[in-house]
Amino acid sequence: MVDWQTVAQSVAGGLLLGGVYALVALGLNLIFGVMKVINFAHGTFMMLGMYASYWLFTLYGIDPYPGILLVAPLFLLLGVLVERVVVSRILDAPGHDQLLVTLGVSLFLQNLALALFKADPRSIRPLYADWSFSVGGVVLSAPRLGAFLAALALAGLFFWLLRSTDLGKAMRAAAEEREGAILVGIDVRWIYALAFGIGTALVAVAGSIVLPFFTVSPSVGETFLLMAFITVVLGGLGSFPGALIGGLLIGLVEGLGALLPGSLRQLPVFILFVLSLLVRPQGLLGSRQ
Amino acid sequence: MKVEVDPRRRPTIIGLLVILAILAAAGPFLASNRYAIQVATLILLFAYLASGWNILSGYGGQFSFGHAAFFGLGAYTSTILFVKFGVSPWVGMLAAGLVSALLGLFIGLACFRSGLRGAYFALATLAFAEILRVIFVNWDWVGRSQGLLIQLVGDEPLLFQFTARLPYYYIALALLALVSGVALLLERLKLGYELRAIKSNEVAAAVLGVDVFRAKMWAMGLSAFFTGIGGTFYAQYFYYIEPFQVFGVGMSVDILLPAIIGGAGTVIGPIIGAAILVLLGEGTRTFFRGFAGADLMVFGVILVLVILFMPYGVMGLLGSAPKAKKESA
Amino acid sequence: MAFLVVEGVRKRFGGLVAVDDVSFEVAAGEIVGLIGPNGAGKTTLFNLISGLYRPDGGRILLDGRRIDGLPPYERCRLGLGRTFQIVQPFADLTTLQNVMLGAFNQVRSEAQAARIGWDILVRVGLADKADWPAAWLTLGDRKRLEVARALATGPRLLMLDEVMAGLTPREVDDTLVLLRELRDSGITLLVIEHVMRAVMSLCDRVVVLHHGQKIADGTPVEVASFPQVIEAYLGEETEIA
Repeated sequence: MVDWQTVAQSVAGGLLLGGVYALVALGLNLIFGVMKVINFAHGTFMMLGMYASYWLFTLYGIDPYPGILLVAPLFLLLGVLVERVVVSRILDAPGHDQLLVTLGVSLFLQNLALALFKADPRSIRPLYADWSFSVGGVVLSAPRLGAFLAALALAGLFFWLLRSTDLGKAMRAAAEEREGAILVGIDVRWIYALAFGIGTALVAVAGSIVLPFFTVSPSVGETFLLMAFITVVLGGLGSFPGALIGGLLIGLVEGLGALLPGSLRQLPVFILFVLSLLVRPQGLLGSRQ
Repeated sequence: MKVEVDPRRRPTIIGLLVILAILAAAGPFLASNRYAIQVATLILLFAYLASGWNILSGYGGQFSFGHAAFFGLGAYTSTILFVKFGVSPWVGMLAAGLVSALLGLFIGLACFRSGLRGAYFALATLAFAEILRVIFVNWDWVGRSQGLLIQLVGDEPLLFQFTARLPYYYIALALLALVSGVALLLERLKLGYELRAIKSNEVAAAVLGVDVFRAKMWAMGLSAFFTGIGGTFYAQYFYYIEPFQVFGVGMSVDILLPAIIGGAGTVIGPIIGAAILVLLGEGTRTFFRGFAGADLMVFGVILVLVILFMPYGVMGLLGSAPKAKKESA
Repeated sequence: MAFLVVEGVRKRFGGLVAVDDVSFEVAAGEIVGLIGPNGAGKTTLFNLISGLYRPDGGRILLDGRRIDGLPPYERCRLGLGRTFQIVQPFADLTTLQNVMLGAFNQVRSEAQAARIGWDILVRVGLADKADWPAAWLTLGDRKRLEVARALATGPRLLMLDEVMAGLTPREVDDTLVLLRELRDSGITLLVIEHVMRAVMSLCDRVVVLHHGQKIADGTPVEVASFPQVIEAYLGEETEIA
């Protein structure tokens, strides 16, 4: 029998990681919402973000958190570059062509990482790696709590950007009515590039903040990409609140799954996913096509 | 009066027969070199798998990114039957096809009934393959992440085991001939017309009398059936399967890539695509020895270039696919 | 009883009532025009009749049989054909094959479908482009193909959504001839049309929609004199005749 404390511990652990899933899904949804492109390379950018933070820490002793200030602009640039060079050319193509192109980008970058860094898993041990807080008997590890809080802060920053800045308004306009946005003088091409760049920066930073407690290897992005896909299908493709709630929900269910015998921790998430497909295919907060 | 329905049909049939005849004649020559026959068999296997994928995704336009689900399930079905129950893999192969087809119908039910399509469908299929991977990685009875070994019994044709490599080559060739024949037949059947119509515009197809759901389910069942059989061939060829390999995203990509490169929705495209990709992969691996992943980097670049500049693949260049403007595709 | 009966049909999208309690009938062998300013709900009504939308209320009967719960392909099998305003040929099929897809609604074999398809291509004047990839066709030819495809399903009621929009006067005349031939061969026609010259000369009767409601129903000459019709169209600044 599991006691309530174990359950509470699992719920807390799941929710903390769920915050990171939400951040990853937010970036994916930003790109989809604005450009209607599903970015297969999203997980790859997260993996690269983790490597960037890893090398900053290992070579220069820069902790991943302050390192965000370097990683975010770097990946904003990388995202803009990939959008301008590759993705912008297939915006009018059928959806599966966009998936395939970003898959190609992902294959290239992931295997470039494999060639450069080898398959060896790498991790860092910052000072606070073993710190933890006890709240009512539930132990919260400092790196995970930090990642959760940072993810929420970034999500908040992102919502503020979307609601209150001219760039955010332009992005929402381009997302809802492309022709209209062009008519009122918005340069949609740069909005798209920036949306892709910001989405990429968000997921790279997600990589930075999980690095203190997560091992990086060239294939690590796949797991997070799958979780992000499930999150956006669950929450509704293109829905930002959906990504947030979906991410937390998936983290929660995965956390509870850890209570199962064996290592079936991801199975409840998948069951949730299949059920949501059958019952509510447009997602929790999505609208029907 | 006699009406020619499709001017591309006759060249396709002739081309296919020529290719199959050359491959059949080449067998004994290839067999003298162990490496050559290995590469040739891989080409045939991936041409076959891509042709199976092509039924659902190339003709029907329902892009699956998770065909590894059917491939892996097929591989495990026949292997479990053989290893645990002593059932001949020939019987297991049929069972593999049927079990995979059932899974395909279940996924189809989950996705098509609710009108899931495009990117949603692609994501859903990918997730289903990952779900199976996680299940098999954690399942003690089938060896968890270590997978299953097929015990060697020597030269036993009835148990799908040969000491020579040439029989495998001809089995793969027969499979390829079978699936290509089915694709050719499909192009003439009502179902084939319906699938190609659904690919362009489901709504227009529906008001022209097409039961869209039924047509998609048929395509899903057929495609999954052939893919499952391919899984059995793979298991018997390598005598070993493990979940990361057979259910991985990489396998799904390997299955769809030849069709994309060669030309989706054509009979010959997947064969040409498989030849290009396997040879290129082998070449890159030889040239960049010691750089794991170099071949996949090259595939990534080629995939991007093909999508950007040759949307109908190699067959598009040969004039065998409609040179449609992309927005009307 | 009339061949097509639309009875109190309603459709709402969120807060917008697109079709509001619309009733009308089409008798067998009639050509009925469905007109109205942009956004009047004409295409929505077509989508309701052909089964792409489920109505929120009301009934639709075809030849005495209730069809509003049936999926589109079953309505097609019962003899309901339609075209779309935005023409989109099936890009992976030739012109002939596009028409054959419709013919498969009547027959099972490819050879039979090809015969039906060929006859129809000859009839609409596309036979010389039979083996072209359909994506190569010009707008005028695409419109023709759209009609040909629907015709190949063997419809008893054919609903045409602006098949004359964007055509040259010459092409409009050809289309008018074709539509009269179709009526003479026993097909009932319900047409959405903005080309008023065509409406006035072709239709036996006209149904006028405005803001989702039916505001007039009568011969073309009658409805042209209805004050509410003139008002609806003046709001649009469009000439009616």
